[in-house]
Amino acid sequence: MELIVIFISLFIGLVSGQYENERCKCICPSLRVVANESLPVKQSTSQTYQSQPNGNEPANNFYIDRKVYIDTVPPLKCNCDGFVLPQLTNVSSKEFCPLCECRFESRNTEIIRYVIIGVISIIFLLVAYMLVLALDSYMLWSRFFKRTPYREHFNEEMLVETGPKRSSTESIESTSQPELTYAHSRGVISAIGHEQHKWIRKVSEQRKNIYDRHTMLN
Amino acid sequence: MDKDLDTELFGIGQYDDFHTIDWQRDIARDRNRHRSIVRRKKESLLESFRSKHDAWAGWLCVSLVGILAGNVAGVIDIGAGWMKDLKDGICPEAFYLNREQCCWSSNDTVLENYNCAQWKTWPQLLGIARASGFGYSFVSYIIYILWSVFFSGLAALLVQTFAPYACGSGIPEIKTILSGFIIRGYLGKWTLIIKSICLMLVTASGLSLGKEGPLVHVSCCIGNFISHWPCFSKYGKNEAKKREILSAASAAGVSVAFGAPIGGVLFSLEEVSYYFPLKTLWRSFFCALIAAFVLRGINPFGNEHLVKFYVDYTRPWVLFELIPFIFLGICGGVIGTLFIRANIRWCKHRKESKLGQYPIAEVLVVALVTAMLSFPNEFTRMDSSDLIRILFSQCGIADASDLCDYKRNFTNVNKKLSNNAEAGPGVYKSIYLLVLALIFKLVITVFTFGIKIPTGLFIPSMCMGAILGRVVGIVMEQIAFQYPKLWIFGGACSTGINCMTPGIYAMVGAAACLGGVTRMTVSLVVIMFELTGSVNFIVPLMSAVMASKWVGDALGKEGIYDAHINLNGYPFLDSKEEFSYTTLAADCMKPLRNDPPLVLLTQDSMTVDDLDSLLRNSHHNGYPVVVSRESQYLVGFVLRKDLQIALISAKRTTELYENTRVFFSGNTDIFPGGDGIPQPLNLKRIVDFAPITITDQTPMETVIDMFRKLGLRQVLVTHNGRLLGIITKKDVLRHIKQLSNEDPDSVLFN
Repeated sequence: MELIVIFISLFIGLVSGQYENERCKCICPSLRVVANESLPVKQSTSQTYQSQPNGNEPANNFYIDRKVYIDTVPPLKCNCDGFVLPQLTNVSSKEFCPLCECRFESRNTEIIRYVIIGVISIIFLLVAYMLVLALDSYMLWSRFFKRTPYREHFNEEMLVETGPKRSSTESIESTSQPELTYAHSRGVISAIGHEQHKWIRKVSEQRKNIYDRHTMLN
Repeated sequence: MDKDLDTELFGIGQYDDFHTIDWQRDIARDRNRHRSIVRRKKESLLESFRSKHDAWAGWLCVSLVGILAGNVAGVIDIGAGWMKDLKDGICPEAFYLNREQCCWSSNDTVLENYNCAQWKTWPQLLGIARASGFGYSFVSYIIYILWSVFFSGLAALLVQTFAPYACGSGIPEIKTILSGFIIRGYLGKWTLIIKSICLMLVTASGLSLGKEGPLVHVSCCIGNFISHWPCFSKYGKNEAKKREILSAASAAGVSVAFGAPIGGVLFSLEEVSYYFPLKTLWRSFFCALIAAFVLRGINPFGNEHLVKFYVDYTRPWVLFELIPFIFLGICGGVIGTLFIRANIRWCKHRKESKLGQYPIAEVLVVALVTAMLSFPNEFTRMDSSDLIRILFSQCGIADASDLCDYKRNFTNVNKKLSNNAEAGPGVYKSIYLLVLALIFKLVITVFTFGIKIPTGLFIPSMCMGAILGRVVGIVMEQIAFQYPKLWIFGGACSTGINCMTPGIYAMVGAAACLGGVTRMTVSLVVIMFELTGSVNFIVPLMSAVMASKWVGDALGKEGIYDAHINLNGYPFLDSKEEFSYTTLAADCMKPLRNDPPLVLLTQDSMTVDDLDSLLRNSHHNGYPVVVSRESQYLVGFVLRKDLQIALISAKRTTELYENTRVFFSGNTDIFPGGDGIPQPLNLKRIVDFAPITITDQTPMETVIDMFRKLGLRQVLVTHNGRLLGIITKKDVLRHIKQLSNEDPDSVLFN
């Protein structure tokens, strides 16, 4: 988790030029296929590639073994003749190119970035809210009998537990009227608090259905 | 009087939690509303605009559902794609990219699917550079397990805290809801948010589950959310109409899950929906189209396709191949049935034993075991949909994995690369690993499906089938390579072109296995064919799916979703099953012989006090209205909730006394309120004067047909014109259970 935080703080707003949004990707056989014995080795290229760390692959045969060619070229030039051949020497187009397969692809890193940052922040918000709720219910349990506003809410829950058969005209009135008085008498904050209580009650009802009574979603 | 009928009381037509809806009544209400709009159309400009809005509201609503569903699916795809690679490492220069995207434009790899320089694995970040050492693998193993357990634990906690209804696949419940059942909060906003977020987490955790099935639930939540907007009140306030939107939404769900719009529409028709008129079909079509369009715009995989495992085959198939395809179908049916039986037994055990009390611990244990066992095998270590993609695809030139270790000979340029070739040792090793992976997946999915996090079933079952198919395909390919001139190949293999593609077998196997588990047919074939973009393989897919359905139906009669509906006892009246008993309506009717008599309303002799005490002392959901206690001829039917609402609103607006008389019929004028007598209350508007009635001699077969086809909530039973009793949907379900020797009390709720 902390690592992610560090990464977020480090990299928001940083899009490196390396991450292009378009590429031409060609997959060709290795050069061994076309030229059986006399392997054309272009020293200069192979050495520039050697200098880069290349995973766990020994790099000295990179030029010969290579099968994937990726670069940003215009879509029209994305074919074997226009893109792969200029990088190679001593290879004839007739032999090599029919085996090549080129694809032009595009993506949008901006969308990816915003989505990922959005997802991470939503998860953080949810986790934070979850902690608040957990703390709240802990406090609630620790002084259950001292706080009066909550007792009412618990009584109602007991009523709910007796099942859907409880309702008569009175109970409908009792559930619909408090909303009005709440909205009138207190400010916005208490209205939000009331909404939250309603929501918590609904969720605990769902929880009871699934985790305790096992009546649903088994 | 007209105005009075047009404006409904607040709350009429709404149902309580876990109640069954009355399709006939809701549709009639909508027709009334529509008629009044049409009638007023010419009155003013506003009214004419209102009628225009009413006409296109359905299309507007489904297109909004489609747009939102496409966006949510895109977010889930991108998020899950990023998180799954967190187990392996991170892209330090752009943390939001997964491995494939991180290496997307790097030009320093020799082969496909190799780590590029930009991608850093966790051991590398911790300073262990040697990739081959024991320390490296051990550290990767530990970190893999930690991430896996962390992701699934977080998902389980989120589900438990915010939206318990977000767990599971959701399709059995959606089926029940669409058949006319109310589960409050099941399609709520919190369920939508939590299910979307947790889908990413659980797919990333490497558990054996998929996000495709739950996407149907997610998009139904979207449908519910949008239909509650004030401008779409004709859907939000009418449960029967809302289900039209939900049907379209479920089509959009499959459309974005598999990139198969037509498959989605057919899925909605075949598997999910209960009431599916042509209008809904077109709306679903449109909704699925919009959703696919939006998802394509987001392009979550960067491959211009809607799914990760899009493949493109051009090869024709040989007639002989139908035999292995049908064999795959049979295997799919057997695997499906095995899976269903084992899973249902385990779920029952969870429901009844102490195991059910530790939902989070169970998730953690399953995640731990999955991670520990799946890491050593490269095929189970990778994401399931990645594995499916690899199994579906042909071996390319740059594929260096063991699975593509063929002894190919490229010296002749005229020979295309897709020639048959002898398998190298890597292929045999892969077969061994794949078989292990199949067994592992089959066993672990039984324990995974049903734990309290969002779990989809499409991907794991497709994965099992694809493994099986690939193995069979490799065997066939090697036979064709060794004996190309065998008569069974009909000369197709002797010319040197490729005649057996293991990828196609994988695809057919996946369809067969998914068919065996879900018992879908048409929609499944269409989904698979849209995945592959090739019409050539419809017949192989059809034969495999048909074989798997036959074998599956022979071994066990219901698919996994129906089995879960039964397990939970949801009130779902399956239209596929036949009722073969000869009972009569009188056998099923309430009240039975020893029961207290039916609670009745009389049309003109009750007072407000009578009604209050009746409501207090009885708990029925509706009351028949009769002429009088002496002559019990039927007048109509009143729902309990409507009666409550009407009484409350009457108490608020007019002066009511205890002895105010209440009329349930049209002719109040005959009894005017005099001096001493208070003004009577007329509740005519809440009475249904055309309840469906049958006689006590009607066979149950007919009654059940009426319930299924008309979507009834209750019928009234009469004898010689006198009211005798009532049959509700629950009574019917109990009756069916009783006759088939099951516990009738397992049917849920009201």
